[in-house]
Amino acid sequence: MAYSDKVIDHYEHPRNVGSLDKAAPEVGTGVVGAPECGDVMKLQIQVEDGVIVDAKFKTFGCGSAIASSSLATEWLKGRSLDEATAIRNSDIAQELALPPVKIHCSVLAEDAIKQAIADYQKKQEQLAEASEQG
Amino acid sequence: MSDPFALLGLPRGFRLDETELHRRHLELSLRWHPDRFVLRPAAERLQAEDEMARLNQAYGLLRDPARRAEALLALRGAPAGEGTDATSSPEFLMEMMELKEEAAEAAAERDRARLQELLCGLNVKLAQEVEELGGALDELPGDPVEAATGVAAARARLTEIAYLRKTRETLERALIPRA
Repeated sequence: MAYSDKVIDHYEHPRNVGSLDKAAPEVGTGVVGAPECGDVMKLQIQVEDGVIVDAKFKTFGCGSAIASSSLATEWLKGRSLDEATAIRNSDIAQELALPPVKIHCSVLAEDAIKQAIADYQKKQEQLAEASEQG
Repeated sequence: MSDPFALLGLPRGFRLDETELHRRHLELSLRWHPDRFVLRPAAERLQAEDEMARLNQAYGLLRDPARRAEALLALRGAPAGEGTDATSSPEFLMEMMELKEEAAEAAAERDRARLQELLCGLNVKLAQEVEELGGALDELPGDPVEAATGVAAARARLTEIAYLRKTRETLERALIPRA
């Protein structure tokens, strides 16, 4: 099996590698793992006025998992949360021309996006509750 | 899946007699080795190749304690979950992430002392985890309903072991001297 040029490009020049402050209220963090291969992926978004202004990832896994999360962070920047929720693993798999055995890597990326958004929304709800009580 | 224990004629369980495992494998290899079938008809030659391949696969599975545990769980109808890990808590996954980050950092800095220290700690932890998992597996009741909770706990533990083993690979690779 050969990796596509796009996978190799993302693997060799990953975009947006790094971390955001996971304690910050405007940051949402998603961490997902794949028990079969032991890969772990962390994806973080920074949101301002409902728009994702920054996205970072760190992935310990195969080339396809790195490329999937790298591409995901590129796509996330500038999107609203609703638009971000609409990203499907099939879009990632198609863009990177992932072979069937590597589709689960794109699923991992989609799940990481969903978790990051859910984490951000949970923080916002808690903040809203706290300010109501305060 | 086929039963690797049955294939090698051993009782199904985590604790096994390793000497007996090697002896059985050798004995059956001598019987099925393709070299012995060179002058036989094609159908027999193919069968021998097939048997030999299954034998080696079962042997590889049973020799490695973590893979042996995996085989036992698969035989109980709880094979490794495909796709995203839905059972581990976010806190635990974050812990695994941090461990991998630490390993990657030491690897990037080629800090051999740190790498070795991390690898040593990981090996101790892995050995302990696998040992405890093995003990739990051998104590599971035969009845599938009664065993369900124990099987789920064992599956969760094996998931953790998968993350730890992958991290160990990172450390081991980083310790290979570069030319």
